Amino acid sequence: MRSLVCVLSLSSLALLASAPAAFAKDQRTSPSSQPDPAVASLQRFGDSIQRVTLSNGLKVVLNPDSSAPTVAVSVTYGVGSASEAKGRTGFAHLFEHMMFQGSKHAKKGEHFQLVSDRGGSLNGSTNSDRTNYYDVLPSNQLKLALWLEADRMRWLAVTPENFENQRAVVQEEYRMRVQNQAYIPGIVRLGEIVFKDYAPYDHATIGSMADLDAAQFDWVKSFHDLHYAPDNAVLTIAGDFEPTQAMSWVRDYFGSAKRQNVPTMVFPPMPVRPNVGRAVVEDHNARTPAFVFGFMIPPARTKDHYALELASVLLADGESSRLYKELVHDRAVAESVSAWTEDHRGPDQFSVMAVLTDKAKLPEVEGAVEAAIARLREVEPTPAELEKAKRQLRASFVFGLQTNLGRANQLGEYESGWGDATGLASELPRYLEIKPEDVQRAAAHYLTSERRSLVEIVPARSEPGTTMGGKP
Amino acid sequence: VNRLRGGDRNGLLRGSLLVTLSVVGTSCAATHAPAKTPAIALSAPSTAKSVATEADPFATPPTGGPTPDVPFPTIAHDRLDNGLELRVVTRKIYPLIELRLVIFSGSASDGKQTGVASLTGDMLKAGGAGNWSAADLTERAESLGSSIEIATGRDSTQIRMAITTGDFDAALDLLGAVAQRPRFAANEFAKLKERALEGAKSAAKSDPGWAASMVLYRELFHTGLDSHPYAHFDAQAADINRLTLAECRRWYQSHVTAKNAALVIAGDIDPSTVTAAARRVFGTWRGNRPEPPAMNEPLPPLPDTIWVVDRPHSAQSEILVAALGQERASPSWPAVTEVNQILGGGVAGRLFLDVREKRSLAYSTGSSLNEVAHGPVPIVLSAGTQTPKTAQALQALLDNAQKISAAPPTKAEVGTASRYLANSFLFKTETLGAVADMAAKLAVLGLPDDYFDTYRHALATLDSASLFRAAQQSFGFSNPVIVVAGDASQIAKPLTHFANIVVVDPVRGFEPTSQLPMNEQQSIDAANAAAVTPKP
Repeated sequence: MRSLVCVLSLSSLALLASAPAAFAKDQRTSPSSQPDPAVASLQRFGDSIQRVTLSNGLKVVLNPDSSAPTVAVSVTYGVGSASEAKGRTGFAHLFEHMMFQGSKHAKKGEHFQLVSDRGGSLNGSTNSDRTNYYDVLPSNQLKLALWLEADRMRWLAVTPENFENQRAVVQEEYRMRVQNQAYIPGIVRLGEIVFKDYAPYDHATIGSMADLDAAQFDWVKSFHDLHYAPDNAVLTIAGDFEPTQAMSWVRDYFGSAKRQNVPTMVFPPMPVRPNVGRAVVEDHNARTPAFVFGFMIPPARTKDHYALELASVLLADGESSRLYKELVHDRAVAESVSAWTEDHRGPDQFSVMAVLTDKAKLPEVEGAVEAAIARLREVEPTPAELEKAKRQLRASFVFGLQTNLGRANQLGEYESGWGDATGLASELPRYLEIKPEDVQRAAAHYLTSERRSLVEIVPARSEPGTTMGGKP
Repeated sequence: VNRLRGGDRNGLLRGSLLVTLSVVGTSCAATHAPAKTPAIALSAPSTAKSVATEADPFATPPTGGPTPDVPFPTIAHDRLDNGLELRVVTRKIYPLIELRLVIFSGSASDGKQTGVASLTGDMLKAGGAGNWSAADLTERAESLGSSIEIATGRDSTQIRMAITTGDFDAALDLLGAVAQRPRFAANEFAKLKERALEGAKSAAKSDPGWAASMVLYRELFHTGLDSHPYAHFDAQAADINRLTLAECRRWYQSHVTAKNAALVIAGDIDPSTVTAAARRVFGTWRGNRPEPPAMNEPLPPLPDTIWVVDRPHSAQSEILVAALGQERASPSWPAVTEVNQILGGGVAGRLFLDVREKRSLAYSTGSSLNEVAHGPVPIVLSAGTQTPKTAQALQALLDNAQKISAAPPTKAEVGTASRYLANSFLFKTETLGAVADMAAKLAVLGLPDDYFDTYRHALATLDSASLFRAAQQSFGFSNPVIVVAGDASQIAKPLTHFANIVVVDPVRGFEPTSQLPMNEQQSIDAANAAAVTPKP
């Protein structure tokens, strides 16, 4: 349910009219009959969003908000690991690092130094569908942030030295995040199985160590030339700024960046019969066995996806969730349980995972999780249970509004992935509109045994990395 | 499920975030200067290049105008007749409220029952409370769109909730029940203890940072026969196994009391409303403040020793280099935090620029001040590096540790660190959760309300010479504790270049399993050091 991180916004008074029963109940029970203050906050946010497109194709999203004297600038490029070719995985993430290695006017290390010197923070992130770069600074430093982002959009120092330097750093990151983490290699393996016949998502965002080792500088430079241009980017500014002044600076710095006619990413339709398989991964960092089920499901921001996200909440979000109560608390056969979606623009993956306790056996716990999924398929959740999940979502939406950076990144992601940042304003109602029968219907259609892949992760007894498995 | 306030271990690899930067953050504290105080050096230096010319807007980086100057928000104080302290920060931007019930006792008050504070804290919720069974309690909290979080630190235990405004009374009822009327159900204690045991065993096997920290704190706060209150980073499985429900009840009765607690609230609510609600919920709570734990003097670390926490087949080594520095209440604390910032507090720090960006030895590296309420504060340098480069990465950390006290920092370093520490609090206080945490921190550390603003002013007065003095006093690292969690068969021999090696087994109580003598002639290049199994 990663998408819940992505959805901050909400709503307008018009949306209240179509709000679901639970939402309406909040209104009715309000003694003063005033609009729900949480919804009002989300409405103000939605109303504040402005969008502009420059002649070079750069999309600009503005979210002025003077609550705090800071400003966040986020540039979202419409390139992620889904855009990588076979044998050249990990390039989008590698560029996330390369973008901090200097540009024409901000020399190597100067981006770090300048932002820190002004009291700011910076970072970047990559997923399958996009990469973003962001700076958060005191509000008097907006112009600096725009200067830095424009400089590296236009004149990034893509050099062999920077490539070699950051390849080594990325490989350290791979060791830290994959090779030195219990259960993670198994989760990576599951994605490879589920998307075996669907190229954009058949590999992890971080790529493979073999591809990073084999990468040639020319390949990396070609990847940059193809994807990093204004017509494949969204510039988002959120915080304490004056929009007219900000747009003037945006035009000064970004206006003459050259359009590259970046090809549009086209996602093939979801396979009618997705690949399924199973594997066993030996893991030197794991103490006890674990397993993870994976199902291919429709893309994010479709009705069935909203229903399946709520299904993941019912299964494993919080200590009152179905699987936590049964497997962790009551029977003590699982140390932890989790359920999530990846929230791809294309076909997505629904995963359910359990890490076993000492006394548990894999078949026993796998059977219990399968039974819980079968219950989702066969019986509608009660209105009270679904309402609890929706209340958690509602709170999370409002808490997510608090930081300029959070709003900037999510607006950028929404504009880049779904074409219109203001669409965030309709997100929460889409969850709240889901009815119990929608959850059951989506589960019955997509969370079936015929669509299920399985990876079992067992503590290694011999050499690391041994992988067995095949079709069931 | 990962939401706006949640974590996501799985999403890192498939669909979600891989971030560029991972530096070890400082835990120092600063914020905005008060509105009435004179302007301090918060803006970019006047020597910066001028704003870009019309002909070439990129010619020089823009300097910006004056930096906004915002003080830490006002904390309203009150106290109930029973001694419960109330601290309220009102901020009405969003209809949200963060609640913290702060108990001024944490794991430092474990005594001889290592882990009892943490297990007791968890039991307050897990055992049910008031009219609610354990299951009913979590159901009720999650039905409010929230959860009850218990966080046990060294010097405090906090019971936390985050809610939308309309649910304040309901949330406070839950906190009140958990703190005042825990059921301590025996069957739930057995389950909780089993879960804690599983968690401790998994951490020992799977978490190199946890395993390294266990040894680090044991050695930093080694006192001979008596155990120092900060010597246990966490409880091991054997510690948990010994704990009883009766011991948890006793710890609760001694420490979770009205006079040993503060209710900290931040958000869309007025202080008078909080006082009235607190009087209703906590008015009959009783109990005194317990004696603080005795802080005996730590002994100097065992010299010329590297502790290797053995993790066979580990792809990476987690390296910690640490020493005890100044006390948190020291007048030189602002200088200590600024030295730490220069050394490894961020992306402009020396460790990041040298160990990561120049030598490519680590993805994550930095230094941190791990604040404690009493006595000297640990300064910890860290890096995660591939197994064959372990000794080189340790050398890089030691090089930087040595340099920080060997010569004054440059004027540019001082300016950047000062401005970062002062100005970054503008965005570090954006969330109510952060404001509540900072207000709670003032209470736990016994600092005045204007501390953050005073601290910020102090930063502006520091110069290269004063920072150099602080570095020499606190960052000497003449006899550091060094812990490396990694594959002993691969890393032990190269590390003999630096010191004697003691290998410990994290899954068997961190007992020594073997050792190697120091050999200064040993190459630190793993390629020249064949794998070796240290001798028992």
